[in-house]
Amino acid sequence: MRRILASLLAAAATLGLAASAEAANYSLWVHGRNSDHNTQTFNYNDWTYWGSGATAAGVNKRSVNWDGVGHIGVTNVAIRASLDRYCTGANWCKVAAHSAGNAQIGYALSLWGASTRKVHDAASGTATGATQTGWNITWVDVLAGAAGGTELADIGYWAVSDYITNDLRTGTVRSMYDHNQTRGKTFYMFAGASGGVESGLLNGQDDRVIAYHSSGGVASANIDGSYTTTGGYCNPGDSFCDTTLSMGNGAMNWSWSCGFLWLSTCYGSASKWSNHTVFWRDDGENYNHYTNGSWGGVVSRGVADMVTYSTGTEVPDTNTSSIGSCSQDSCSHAPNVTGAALTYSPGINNSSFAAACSPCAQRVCNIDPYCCTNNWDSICVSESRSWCGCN
Amino acid sequence: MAKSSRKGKNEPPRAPPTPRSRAPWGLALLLVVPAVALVWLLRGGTRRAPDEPEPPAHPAAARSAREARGRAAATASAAKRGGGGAGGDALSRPAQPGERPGMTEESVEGKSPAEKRLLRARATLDNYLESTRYPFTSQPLSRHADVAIPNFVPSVKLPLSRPDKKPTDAKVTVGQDRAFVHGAESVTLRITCENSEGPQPCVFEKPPMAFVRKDQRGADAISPSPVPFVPDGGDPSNQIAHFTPAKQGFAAYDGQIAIEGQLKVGSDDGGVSWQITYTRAPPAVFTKKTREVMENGSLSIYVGMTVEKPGRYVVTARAFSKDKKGFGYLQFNDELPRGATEAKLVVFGKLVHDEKAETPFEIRDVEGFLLRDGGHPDREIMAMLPGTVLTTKTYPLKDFSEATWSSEEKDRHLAHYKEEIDTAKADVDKEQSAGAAGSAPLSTPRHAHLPRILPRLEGYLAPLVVYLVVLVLHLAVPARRTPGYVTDAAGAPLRYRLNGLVVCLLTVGLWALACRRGLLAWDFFYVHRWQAAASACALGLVFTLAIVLPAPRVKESIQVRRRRPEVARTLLADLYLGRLANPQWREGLVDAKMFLYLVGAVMLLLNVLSFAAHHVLTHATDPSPGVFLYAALFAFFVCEYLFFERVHLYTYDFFAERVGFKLGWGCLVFYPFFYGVGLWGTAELPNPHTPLPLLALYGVVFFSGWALSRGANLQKFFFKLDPGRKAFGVLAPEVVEADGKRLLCSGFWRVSRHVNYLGEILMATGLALSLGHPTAIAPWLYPLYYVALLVPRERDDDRRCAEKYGPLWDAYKKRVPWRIVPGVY
Repeated sequence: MRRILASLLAAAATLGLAASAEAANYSLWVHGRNSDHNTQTFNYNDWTYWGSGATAAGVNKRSVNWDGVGHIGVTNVAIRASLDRYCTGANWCKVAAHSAGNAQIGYALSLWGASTRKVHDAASGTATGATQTGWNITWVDVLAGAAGGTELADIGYWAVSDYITNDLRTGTVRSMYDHNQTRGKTFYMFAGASGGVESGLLNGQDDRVIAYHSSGGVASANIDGSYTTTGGYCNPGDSFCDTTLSMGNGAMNWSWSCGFLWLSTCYGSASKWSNHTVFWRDDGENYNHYTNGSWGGVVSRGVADMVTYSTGTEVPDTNTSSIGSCSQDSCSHAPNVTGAALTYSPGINNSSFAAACSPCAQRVCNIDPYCCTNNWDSICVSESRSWCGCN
Repeated sequence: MAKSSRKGKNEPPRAPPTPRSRAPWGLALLLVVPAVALVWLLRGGTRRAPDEPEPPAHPAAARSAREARGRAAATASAAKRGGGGAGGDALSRPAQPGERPGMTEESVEGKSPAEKRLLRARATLDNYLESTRYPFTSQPLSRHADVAIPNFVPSVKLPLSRPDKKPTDAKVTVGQDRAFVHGAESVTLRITCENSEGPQPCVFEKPPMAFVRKDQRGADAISPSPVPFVPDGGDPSNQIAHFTPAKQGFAAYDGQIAIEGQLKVGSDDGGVSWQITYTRAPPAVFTKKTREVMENGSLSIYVGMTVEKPGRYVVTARAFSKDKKGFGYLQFNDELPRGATEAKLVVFGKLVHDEKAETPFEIRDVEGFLLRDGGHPDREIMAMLPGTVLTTKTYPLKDFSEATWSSEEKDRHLAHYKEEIDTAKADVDKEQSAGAAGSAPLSTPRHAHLPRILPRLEGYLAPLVVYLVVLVLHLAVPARRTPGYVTDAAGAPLRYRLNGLVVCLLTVGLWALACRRGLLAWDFFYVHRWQAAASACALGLVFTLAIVLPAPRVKESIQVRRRRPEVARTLLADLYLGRLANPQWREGLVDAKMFLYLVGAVMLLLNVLSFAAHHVLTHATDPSPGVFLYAALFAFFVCEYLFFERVHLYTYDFFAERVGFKLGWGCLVFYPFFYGVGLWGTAELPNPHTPLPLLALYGVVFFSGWALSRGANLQKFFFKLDPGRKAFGVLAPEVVEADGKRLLCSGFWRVSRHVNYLGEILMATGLALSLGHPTAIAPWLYPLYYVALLVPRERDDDRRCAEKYGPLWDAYKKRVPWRIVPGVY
């Protein structure tokens, strides 16, 4: 009887392993700036940023949440952890990224795409022990992408200036990482053009937050071979721009009369970042930047796209809630609020900690000792969200 | 190959059947058909195939956009003086050979979901293959154009920042020479000010202040520091400042530093800001020791480092060829241990081959930083090694491998992409077998997806394929049988099959169909123009040898070389001038001369249309109307020639020339590949925005030339048919005559003695001007060729006529004093 029971258990375990190892396609949604702090990191079923969780948005849709306000360099770890879980081993991902989510996925691929990743079992979120180089990402839909920055951040348009806003200054985000380096993955760009009162502040066509130079993935414009700028791009036939945002990945060239009595010809040229291609341009000027809690604006085009192009077999996900460990334990305060430095016992060369008041504090302080030596500030809180799933 | 100019002025032709009855509607057709066809080809193409450009903007809108740009020109020139950021052409990624607009939503409209998935899977695979020809650590510099210059930060034009958030008329272009600063480094900040009236002084109320925002760590401990701006080169609208954080109170700080100021520009006031990220101490230093090792067909550059903080380091450098041209963007991204170590940069073998880079290479501008796995700042910057860090040894090209990059990561992706394609294809097959309603049949995939036979040879095979298609059509299409001027050995006129215009239009139609179906790129003949010209050269040579060598030596060679009658024609002369006078195959089924002219004309038209298509593809948003005009004029030029094909049988070429290198190579190579040299050399240039009245004038120049050339030849033609008849019903013939010989000297022939040559030159000039690049050399090669060809020919003809007509020629010269250009020459 014991033998039979053992055999049955072994068979069940084998079947379970086989089931968990079955290849699946996932649709990952990476959101943008979110000053409301109302999304739960590592809760892949939390669709607060986007709209109803019941909306079809591609096969095996998973919401990749991050704290929405922290520095890209700080919060990107949540994106990478999500990619580790769903986009390794036999599993493949198609990614949709909105606004600052563009910078998040771009940053991850450009700077961390060459790193060795731990292969995970997607269903349970546990590492299998195997490793691989980079992630299994088929392509990326970029919806109103902010990886080229926004002039609104440059001029301090928003009353509340958070870390991500500082990162999204045009000069800062464009020099943060090599946007051409996507590990060969195609970024399909969706550029909205339903502007508003902000349009006078943004160069070229815009969706009220992001101008075409960013949502169209334009690297930079060279004017008359003498200086470079983000440039201003428009829909066909529209004025007050340098030129029309071309579809696809083609370079743009234009000229105009200049010089004394307008007798000379000046030339401009611009190209998209490598692997970036404009898939959809809002020629009707009907789609703005905002989801409005209902998958709205440019995101609605992305939803339709993911439903069409990200297909496969639905697989159960046994653990879509928080995988982090955010307990206060013996700390003086919880990791998700600012306060005094949390306690720890530093290990050799600060590279590890023999003990800390909580696993989360240990994890954060391993990376950012400031949090355990000076002050548990808002950056530490952001890190606790990204590393521990503190929400 | 000046076709009509070959007519000897006073050679007595036999009377051919007159084409006049067909002329009026035929000419109208020739004007309308090429124009309509061109518009259909280029505009139609912009809407259907996934790899085609968008249509040009509405003319009115384009005009207003140009006006807007004109208004912006002052701002551009202001920014040009110091708009910030590093300048230079290196930042502008040129259009890549064969670059296409990628898959777009519009391009898959009407397809079923499965078809869309299949098309995207293919497009994604295409891009991945293109990106992974080389490892991610050793990429073409052109694919990383915006980081070709170290520390590059593009400038941005902004309104002034105001609490009321209203856009200001004033605009500032702000720039900085780096975004990340470390240790004792300085950053240069720039600002250019303007409003709708042009450049304006930037008037700061007080110097901008550098400070740490309150939400940043250590903000309380840092005191703001002034960053005074000064006019750059004395220009108050263009100001510059240097900020050194370590010396201005930030030496103990790591993180973002803001520099903000309030200023007045014209009547507007508001704020402006810059931002840098500062790290005080480098985590590692470059030792300036490098070594190079040729490994597995690639050149490895080991950059020495002393690492203080172990971790993931990102090190980048640029590789320059012997000719100082940047070709490689090299990147290292891996973990490094503490202590003395090396970062390995690789100049990939295939990259060297494809970029045609020559050793010794220069490795320049080595940058590096420690990438932190979280925390802020996310990186700690190392001091850059600027300029040339290493000049490599010289290596023969054969030492570099031509193998494409391979890796587990790449294989994994390729297998997945193939699976995506297979899955989508299976879904499409299911849909189609089920007859799914509303499912349009899948369009033929782009040419890039088709299995290619000898892909490297396709450009070389192109002329052969075109010439074979023309031959097949020439044989298959019904033709008019007509006697010519020259006779066979028995004295009977040789007979010809004439169907050139139909064959030409059919060939162009087949080409357009292939392009619209995605089987061929619209600009295939442009992309492969060098290969096609080279193989056409080879074809011309083979043809020459094949047609000349088997033929008997020319017996009348002494007559041909009458200046040196004692010297017989050499083999070389035979090869050049030919031996056979009018070779025909199967009793005129194919006449060598007429076929050569036909294939040359068709290939020329295909080249010109394809070159124009390349321009439209490259400048989809702002194509040059001049290119459309040029292509339309050339289409007219070719079609008009073929329309009057029969007249050509009565030209000098037929009764005086033999078939050798001169005719064969000329028709197979020179005619199709040189005549379009203007567009060959300017297709990639942007729209020069030639004013429409000027374009119209250029069209008038061309058609004036055509009227002179064709009119003169037809007038002579009519005169020879009936010396007493008025040409075109209005030009009464006037002659000088003696001893039964008559020379026409009225109408066109009153203008100059070779007014038809003037017409040819004017046509070529109109074509050159229409491109709108009067300072470029290429467009002028074609008219210069005519001048070089026709002026000596006129001299030769004048000498021959003087010998033939004697005093009559002198009388004629008094009546018509000008050789070609009245009042000039």
